[in-house]
Amino acid sequence: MEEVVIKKVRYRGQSDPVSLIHGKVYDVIGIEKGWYRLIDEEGYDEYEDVQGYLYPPEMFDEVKDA
Amino acid sequence: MVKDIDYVMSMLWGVFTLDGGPGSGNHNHAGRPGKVGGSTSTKPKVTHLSSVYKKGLTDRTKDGLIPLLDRTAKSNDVVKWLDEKTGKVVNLTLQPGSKITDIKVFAADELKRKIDIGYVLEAKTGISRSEWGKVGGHGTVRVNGELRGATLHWFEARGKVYSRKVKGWRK
Repeated sequence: MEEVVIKKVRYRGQSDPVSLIHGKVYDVIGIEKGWYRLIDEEGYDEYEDVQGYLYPPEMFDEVKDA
Repeated sequence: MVKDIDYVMSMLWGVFTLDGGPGSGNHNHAGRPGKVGGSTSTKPKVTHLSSVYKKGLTDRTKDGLIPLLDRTAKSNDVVKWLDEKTGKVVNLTLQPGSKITDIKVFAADELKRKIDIGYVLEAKTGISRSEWGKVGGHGTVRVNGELRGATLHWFEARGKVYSRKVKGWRK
């Protein structure tokens, strides 16, 4: 299933192989109460209706020209 | 500064050890009828998730979910970690004293729904991939002073929690 990409952001913080990798660019597919919904290192989940997880925007830099 | 997962796990160990309370013997998960009570020890009984899984092989619920005990959030019960680059604390903690409810194991080796990244968890923690379960529950999260109901997901094995994340906000 293809998600609509709202914008791209670069994660800055501690890397976690099941969550986010420092310096990696992620697609934001939703913004909910100010938090970014993105598909992290867990990837796409066929069992879930709503994909991805929510993360606070403070953990990312916006990527302007991606 | 949080440097490694061992530290994180040691911080979380006391909070998320599965505990039915002194002598309770009943861990509120599906099945095992007739096994309530019976312990005379004052030491809280610990149920490892792996034993829940084993029970789940023969006694799982109809939808394949294995419920666990509801738990109480404590003041050091964080969902996310420190930002290593800025050193700034990401202000997301579970509201102390609030309940984490509706806790269920929805993916595990014994369930139809598997954990795809079990090999990563095994490499990161040394705990066999077959012991990990993916767990979900509802909790109250404090974000910049505001309380929000949230659906939380995390991985759990041997009573240890790894990578707790916000799946979504609740209305």
